Amino acid sequence: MKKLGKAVLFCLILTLLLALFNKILMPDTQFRADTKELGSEVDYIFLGTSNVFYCVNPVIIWNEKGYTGYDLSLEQAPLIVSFYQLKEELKKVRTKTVFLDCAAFEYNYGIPSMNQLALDKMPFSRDKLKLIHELGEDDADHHVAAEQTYNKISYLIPLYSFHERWKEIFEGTLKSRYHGKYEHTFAGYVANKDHYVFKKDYRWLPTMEEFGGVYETTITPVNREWFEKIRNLCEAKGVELVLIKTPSKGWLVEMSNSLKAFAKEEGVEYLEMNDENVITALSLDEQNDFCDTSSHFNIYGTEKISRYLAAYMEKKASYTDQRIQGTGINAYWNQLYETYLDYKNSDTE
Amino acid sequence: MGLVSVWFLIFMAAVTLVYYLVPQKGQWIVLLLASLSFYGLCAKGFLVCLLLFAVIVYLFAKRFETDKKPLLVLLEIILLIALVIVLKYAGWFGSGLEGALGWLGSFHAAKYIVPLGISYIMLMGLGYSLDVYRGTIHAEGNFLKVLGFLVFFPALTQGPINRFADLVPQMEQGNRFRYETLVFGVQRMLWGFFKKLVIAGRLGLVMTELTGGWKGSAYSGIYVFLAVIVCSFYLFMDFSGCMDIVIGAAEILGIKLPENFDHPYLAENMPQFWRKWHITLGAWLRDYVLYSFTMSGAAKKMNRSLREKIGRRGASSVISIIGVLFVWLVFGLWHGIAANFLIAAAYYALTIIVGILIEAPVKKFHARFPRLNGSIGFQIFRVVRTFVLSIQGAYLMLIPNVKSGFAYLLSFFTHPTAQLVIKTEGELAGGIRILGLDPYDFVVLILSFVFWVVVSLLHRKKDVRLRLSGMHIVPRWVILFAVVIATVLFGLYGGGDLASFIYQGF
Repeated sequence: MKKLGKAVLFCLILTLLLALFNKILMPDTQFRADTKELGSEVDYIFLGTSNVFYCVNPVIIWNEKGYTGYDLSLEQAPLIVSFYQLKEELKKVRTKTVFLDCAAFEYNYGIPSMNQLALDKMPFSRDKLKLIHELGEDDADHHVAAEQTYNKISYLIPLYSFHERWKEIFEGTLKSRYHGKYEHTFAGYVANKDHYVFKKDYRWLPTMEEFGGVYETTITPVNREWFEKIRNLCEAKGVELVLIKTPSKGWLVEMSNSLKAFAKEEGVEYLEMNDENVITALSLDEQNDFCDTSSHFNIYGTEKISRYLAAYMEKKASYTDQRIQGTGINAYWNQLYETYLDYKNSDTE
Repeated sequence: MGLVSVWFLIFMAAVTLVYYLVPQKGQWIVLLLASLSFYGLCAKGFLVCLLLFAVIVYLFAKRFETDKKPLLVLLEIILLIALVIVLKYAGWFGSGLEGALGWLGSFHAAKYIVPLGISYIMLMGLGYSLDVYRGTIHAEGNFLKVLGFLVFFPALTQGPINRFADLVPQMEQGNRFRYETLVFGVQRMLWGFFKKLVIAGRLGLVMTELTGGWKGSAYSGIYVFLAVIVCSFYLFMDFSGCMDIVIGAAEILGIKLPENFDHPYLAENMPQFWRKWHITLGAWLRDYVLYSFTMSGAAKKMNRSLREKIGRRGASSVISIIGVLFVWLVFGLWHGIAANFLIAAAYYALTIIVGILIEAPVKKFHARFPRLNGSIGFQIFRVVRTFVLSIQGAYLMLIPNVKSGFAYLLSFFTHPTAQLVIKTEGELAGGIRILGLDPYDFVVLILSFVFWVVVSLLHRKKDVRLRLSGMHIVPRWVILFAVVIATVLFGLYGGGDLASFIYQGF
């Protein structure tokens, strides 16, 4: 028994040591929204891809209308990940609306390294195991050489993927994997001041023929299945689900029509921000508001889109201006807004 | 599920738990089921082939109890080799084979070009049959025990090549749980993981850098010699690391497997090297190929005839040389039908044949200088000479293409200038590279290699695990924690082929 006790103690200490290294070497994912500070009740949650975290700033929405919420999106996050993110989130937070980014319909299983970020934020639970199981290892999206280090084991034990970061202890870059572009974040929004100048006047919502190339415009069975689950989850929790497509130069009219029809079929509200009337209202500047060639915006473009969204939310009867109510979260949001302004007015890129 | 995977550790833990919960008499059944499950998880498409293999071995061995016709032995050898060739070289026969073997179930030639461990199973099966044929052991009446012997899961993928008389009695007898056995087994596995993941992984990267993947290298001159050394150590760390994992896993279950390596780099001549490197293969070739030839009627007849012409010693040398050629031909073919394996085998054969041919003059030389033989200087010379001879064979075993492999070797002479110690152009891509490694990895490689040398030398005098168990708990645990943490943090794993073994392909 004495030997058994020693063995147990040895394993326990070893587990603690490994857990410690796991904690030290795991990337800092704090650019995600800090839900502890935001409280247990918010007006909205955004889910989806980088299309969202590069163009919706909750701080601006707060400043405009006093609505609270945050962004849980990840690069190329598939609906399967969004479903489990939402399920986990709704265990601790109540929300009125969930905005689901339509760009997510372009992916089935996403990027493993980004899925890993979502999983790292999830506490160990049955749902986490289910997501790991669902993501599998042989899905078509996983066949990316650089992504081979991610598999079920690494989803469960991040150290499996991140153990090589021991070198960063000496390089001084260990604290955050997401310095640079991901350094300035506000409730999930990733702020940046990069500029991309469009050389010619691209048309919004072009046809596939105009855009060139062949793209999938139908809803895949995988995405249909996981969308149903998200919708059912929202229904069960009494949350309104809104499909949203943020402004994007790569969003085709065929894709838009397909999603519009799908939303109608599913009885879900659809906000197409690439429609001419919305684009006109946004008055986006193609010389100043984009940060890359894709669907990503810098702080200036994001402010315009966020103000539009704040106005859109205002039309929903269930939203109330938290600033008027003067609840305890005011200080948090005001501080966040001040920080944002400091960043905006600073020379920091 | 490979040996270097978390899944294997989980599998091993589950098997160990069930194994010790079952009464000793039934433990061999647990091992059989575990082995079949392991095989099924790794290569389920070949389970039927495996059973066919075992049936052939079982039936022939039963027959050999009463029928000692040499033709039967030949028939079994032909059958087993034919089966191995069909399975191992399925890819060569093209997709037509898939249709032909469709009745075997989920057989897909393209997916399973090399059936798991099939070459090892063949040698073990043949060895068992030949032992029965020679009357060394009796044929096993229980087919499941023969199957259990052939597929014993820790040794399934890369050996060691077990003997029926050694392994099956241990399996039948079963074992009571012993804490020390468990601890020693786990420690042995840990050492294997360290060698494979921390050292072999980095040596593999250095090898690729130095040789340019044998597709044109920027390194020449003395770096070619360094590359040959690195190839040899890479092969050693990879293979012996695997053996540590295999032997440790078996030890956890209370089963002692034969060692496959015994400080080969300290061998003083090539025959001794082959008694220290891939020991079980060398022993198998000696017992079942060399002895089969030298003890055969044909060899005895030849010996008599040669004695009259070239004398006793000369006849003996000729017979030995022919035996050596047989052994190395089998060695080369066993590794695969590839030019580099045959050339490596020819090279090894040459080193041994030259040894046989110069045996007499060397004896005369030592008789003239008796003090030299016992001197440390001469001993070091012999070790270094054997090292230089052996590493070139390892290099030949690893080259994927003979032409480019030899072209690279020739650059040692054609471009003797040494260059590129530190590849500064790598700075553009994110830092200085030393022999293909960043400075951190380079330091880890050097330190871990030194650690391996120290442990190996200590182990030569006394089992390091015994030394550890004799230490106070604090330093012992600190050392063990350090090795585990070092393996976890510094190990090159997580994807790609880094965690697969070279000898898994045979």
